Amino acid sequence: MTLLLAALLAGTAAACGLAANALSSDPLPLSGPEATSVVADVSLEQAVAARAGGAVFIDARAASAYQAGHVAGALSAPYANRLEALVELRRRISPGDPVVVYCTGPGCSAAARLAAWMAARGWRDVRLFGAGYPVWEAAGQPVQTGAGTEPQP
Amino acid sequence: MKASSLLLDRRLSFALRLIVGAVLILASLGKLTDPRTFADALAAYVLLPAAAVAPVAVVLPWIELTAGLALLAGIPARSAGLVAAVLAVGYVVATASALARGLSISCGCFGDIASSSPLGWGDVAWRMALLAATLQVVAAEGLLAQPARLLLRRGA
Repeated sequence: MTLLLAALLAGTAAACGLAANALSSDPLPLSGPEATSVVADVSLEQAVAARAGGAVFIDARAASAYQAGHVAGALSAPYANRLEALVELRRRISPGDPVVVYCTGPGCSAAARLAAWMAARGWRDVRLFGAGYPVWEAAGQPVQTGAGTEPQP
Repeated sequence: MKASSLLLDRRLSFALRLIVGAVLILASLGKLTDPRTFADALAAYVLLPAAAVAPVAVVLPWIELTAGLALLAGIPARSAGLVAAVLAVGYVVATASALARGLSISCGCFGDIASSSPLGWGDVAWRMALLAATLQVVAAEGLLAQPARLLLRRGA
């Protein structure tokens, strides 16, 4: 009886969740590429080539880390402040533009999460540079310090 | 008071029901309002298959909310306690395995991955306490209470 009621309780709740999601104005896709959020991880060479090809780099680290040094031309979108950054990202990056997201390397999940988050919000060509900023800097690729190339609004 | 009688104490289980219920409801609210953020947090655990992350992110907060409300109401207390116990086992397994695998991720427990600090063993201990509380509720609210009371009476 207890088990039956427990199953009924959980089952009703699950059904409510699925229904609420289906009726939501911005439902979470339950299947397909957007749901699984698989974003390709690119190597340093591929990241360099993407930058040469005009890809927009996104720095998912904290603003202080960004100011201390970032990939030249990269935009700052700390994962923690992504909602605030969304308007600015939408203004600057078209849905079809290639995007490369990075943070401090494999131990840092912010870039992968930001990449999946952006892919789920309509950017169609989002890639992850998993090796991150230390590898970029060590390879002698162009870097920049400060608040960025353009004043933030 | 003996530990065995605490296990079946109805006043204790009443207090624990209210506490666990409130925690579950609080935990569900942040996730209900932003299932995407919760899905991101869940994905960061790398515990579920990728295809299961979104459905779980949609369904789990509702189970927390329902179990929390049922615990507060006390109807059906045992069953709600049982659902909460299963949830608590899930939390313990998820947090402990993430730490054991060396992941540095936020809990996502209250739908707030941005502000919270990375998971620590304190979080695992916290979840074990939650699990213990749910088990007390299940025991005291009757699932095992009758046979346990008989055993205690015989032993006394």
